Amino acid sequence: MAFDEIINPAEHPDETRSRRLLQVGIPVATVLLILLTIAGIGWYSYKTTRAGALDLTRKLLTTVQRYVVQDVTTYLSAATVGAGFAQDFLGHASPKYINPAFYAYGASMLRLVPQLQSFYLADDNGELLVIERDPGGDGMERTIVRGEPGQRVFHHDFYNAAGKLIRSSDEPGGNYDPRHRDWFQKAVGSKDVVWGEPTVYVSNRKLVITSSLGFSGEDGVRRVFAVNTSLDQLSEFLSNLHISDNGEAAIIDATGHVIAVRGVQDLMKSVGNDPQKMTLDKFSNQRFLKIYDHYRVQGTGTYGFQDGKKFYLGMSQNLPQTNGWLLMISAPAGDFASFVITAGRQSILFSLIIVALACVLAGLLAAQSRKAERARRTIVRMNDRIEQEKGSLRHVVAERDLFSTKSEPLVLTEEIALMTGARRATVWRLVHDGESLICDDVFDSREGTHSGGFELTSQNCAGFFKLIEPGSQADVADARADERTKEFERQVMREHGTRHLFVHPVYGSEGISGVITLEDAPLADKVFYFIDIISGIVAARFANAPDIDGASPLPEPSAPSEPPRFDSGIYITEKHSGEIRKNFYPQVAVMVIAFADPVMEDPEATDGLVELIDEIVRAGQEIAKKNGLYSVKLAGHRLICVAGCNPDPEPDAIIRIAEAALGFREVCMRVLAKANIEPAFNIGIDLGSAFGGELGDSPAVFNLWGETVTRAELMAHDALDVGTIEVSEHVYVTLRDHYLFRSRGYFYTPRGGVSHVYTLAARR
Amino acid sequence: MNTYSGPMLEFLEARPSFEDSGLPPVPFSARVMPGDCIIVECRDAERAAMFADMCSGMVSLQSGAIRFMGLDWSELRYRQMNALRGRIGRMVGTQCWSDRYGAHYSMMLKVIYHTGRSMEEVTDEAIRLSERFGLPGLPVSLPSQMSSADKVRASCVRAFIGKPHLVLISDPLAKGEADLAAPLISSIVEAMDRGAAVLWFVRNLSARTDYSQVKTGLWHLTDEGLSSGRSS
Repeated sequence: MAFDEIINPAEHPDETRSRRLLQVGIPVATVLLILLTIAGIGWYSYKTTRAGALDLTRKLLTTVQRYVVQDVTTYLSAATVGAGFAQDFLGHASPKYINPAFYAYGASMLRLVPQLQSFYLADDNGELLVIERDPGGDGMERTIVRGEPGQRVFHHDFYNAAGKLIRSSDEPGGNYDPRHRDWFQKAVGSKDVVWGEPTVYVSNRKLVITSSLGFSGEDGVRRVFAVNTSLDQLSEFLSNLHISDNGEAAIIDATGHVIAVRGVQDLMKSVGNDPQKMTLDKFSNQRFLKIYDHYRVQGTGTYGFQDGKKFYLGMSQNLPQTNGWLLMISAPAGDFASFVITAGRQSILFSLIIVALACVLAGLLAAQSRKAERARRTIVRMNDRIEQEKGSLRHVVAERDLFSTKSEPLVLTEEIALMTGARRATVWRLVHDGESLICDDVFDSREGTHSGGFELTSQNCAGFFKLIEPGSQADVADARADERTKEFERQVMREHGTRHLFVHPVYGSEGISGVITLEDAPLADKVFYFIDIISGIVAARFANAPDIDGASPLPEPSAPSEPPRFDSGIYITEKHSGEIRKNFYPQVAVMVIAFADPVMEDPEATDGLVELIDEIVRAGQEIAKKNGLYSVKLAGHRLICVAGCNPDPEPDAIIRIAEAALGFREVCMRVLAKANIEPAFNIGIDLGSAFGGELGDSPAVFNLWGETVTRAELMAHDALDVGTIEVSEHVYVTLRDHYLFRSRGYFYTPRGGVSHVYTLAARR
Repeated sequence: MNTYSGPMLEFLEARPSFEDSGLPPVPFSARVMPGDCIIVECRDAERAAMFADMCSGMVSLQSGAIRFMGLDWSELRYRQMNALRGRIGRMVGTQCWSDRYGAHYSMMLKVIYHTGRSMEEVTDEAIRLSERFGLPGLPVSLPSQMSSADKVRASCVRAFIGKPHLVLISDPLAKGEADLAAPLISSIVEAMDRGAAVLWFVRNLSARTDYSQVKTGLWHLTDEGLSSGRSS
């Protein structure tokens, strides 16, 4: 199996899935089940508890409400029952005793019932008697209105607590007439108690409400008896009423005006002491407004509602013996059944603790399962690796002449690179008394190539020699940063861009005989035994290898029969011949003609072939002269033609090369066709900068280097078809007005990036 | 190098479905070992392509089994089959090119999809193979804008990229691409050396002599099924 495969086809996905399900799915599902069960129980418990708490609260509130109604009724009965008593008492009294009876009754009631503020008695003759508490003392104040309309006088008599007159005073009453008052007019014809609107009592600026009852005396005069009851006292009474820890009560009249509630004084101030503006929406407590809204929709009863984060129960009840007054009570549900809710919360808390513990246990179980799975995978991987090692060793031992010094067992570096995933695996042999390391073989797994033969000495790579001297393994993560390996990295690794270095010694019979180095090998530390076995094989090979130190010296070279030939050019322009020129040329046109390898089996055929090539070369020389080329050189199977070798660009150089290319093609086709040989040649042309010049002396040889030459060679080598002239994009752009081209397409090369390649077809 | 030492491809009385494939519904029994290069002579190019499909587990069988690297295609799940096909390199000539992306994408897609190799590494390998098969670089044009000859070269690159364990080649030399012979033979030998198996489908074995350089076995795929020929 390849190491870099994303999916291993040999691994069955069903097994993996079921294992994962077993290891993770079941614990998770179990925890989820526990969670759901606990959540369900908790929810049911909460719902039941809540319903029970609400029911309990409702019942308690109903009981409380009953007591409150009774208390409020009792509170108001002083006015209602008292008025009824006064009606009967005064109605049957002799007319001359009515006034004393009124004062006596009023004084007694005011002394006994604190919520009563004052008593009125008016008749249809316009006479008015008033008795009230003395605002300046602890006695009573009696007031009587006398005189004709327009000249009315309020006469006040003040009595002390013992009933003794202590002073009197008069004040003008203007047109005051009790018969024009609401409390008189509504009650004079009625047999029931009539309630007025809440008003502010003049003497003490307190909120009072007037209840009045009409009757006729024995003298036939119609009279009205009225009582002012203090609402402040009622509000105070409601405030002191214990409904629950946070329960409240309020009384409103049939038109929604507040009669009594806790903080009524503040409410009054906020509305400018105008009782007609004392409605619930002015009140900061919105709970009574919600109860009133429920009441208006549903009528009297019990309601549940949310205010902020708390759940409240509200109740409304009409008060008997009043003019449609409404008693409203609100209380948080928790006030009555907080213990139940606390128990519910504790239950949820305990549930959460159990859930957390279950999660921890499930996590531990899953982690343990995953750990076991990882261990299983490690064992599977180890088994796979052992199988791979077996396979690799089979390949190695199957190698013919493995231990023979005449063979090159390339399989050793290939297999070790495969098993360790190394980019490069190298076998080094230690020679010259440990002063040099000679590369026996290096395998580049990315390129798939072998090389070797180069040498490292202890002088130029001292750190590395010190590293291998003890004979132990070394694993260097960054060879460039390590003092011991930085010279090795520079000389061996840098060209290939590798960083990680693993060094394994090769032990021979007399100590270390070499080392195996692995570059960028992620699995090197996991296949230790395999590397050890390979190093043993390498050691055995080294033991059989001839001693380099004792190798026989090279034979002395015999004296050459002829002087060496330095000529390689078949044409050089006369203009520059003999001049020493080493220049950079900004725009050189280069043409390379690549011939296929000739088959040389028959000596006679070879003679014919040389003659044929000679004919081509002669024709080529003529073409070069004709088109003013700078140089034509034969290098192996390639003919390299150059034009425009001038420090100043020659615009027509590329045209001369193109003409020469067409000429060469024609000549080659003709000559090869005449000899009945397949025209196996291609031409590549490029235009660009190059550097070079005439080198050496007697003769001076012209040579040119650069990307332009390389590209022209590449295009000649990779031309699409035999006899085609392939050109670069630059050549195409320069010549497209003069020649016909065919596009071959876009190609990417690491150095040139993406470029367009064309085939030159013919002249326009 | 391939460490797998069992049969690379095994036909165990594999009887293809005629309705699905058009292949003769006869039992195929054969075995290809690592390092083998089997020349499969078949006059009908479509039949050869269908047989290559069968090797890749893309043809349903009436009976029998086909195993690649010891794994029975019929027993594998979808993901496993896909992953296993990532180990097969296939050369299908000038067909089977998508014009949605440049040719380079189609050439490298298999390796990018199936392996965790870096893009740089894959591109390097693609360029190296492109130059080996006579392209001036990695072709980035749309396949429809490429010449047939270049597409054949690109197909060769696509078949050999990623060091496949099994290479299925429809004959590029039959189309007159004589200059491809050397790099193709070289690539096949290299694949055989690292333990891969090669099935090379040819129309007429006597037409060229290149096959004999690498041939380790010869099969004839006819209406009667698969028969072994004499290896020269």
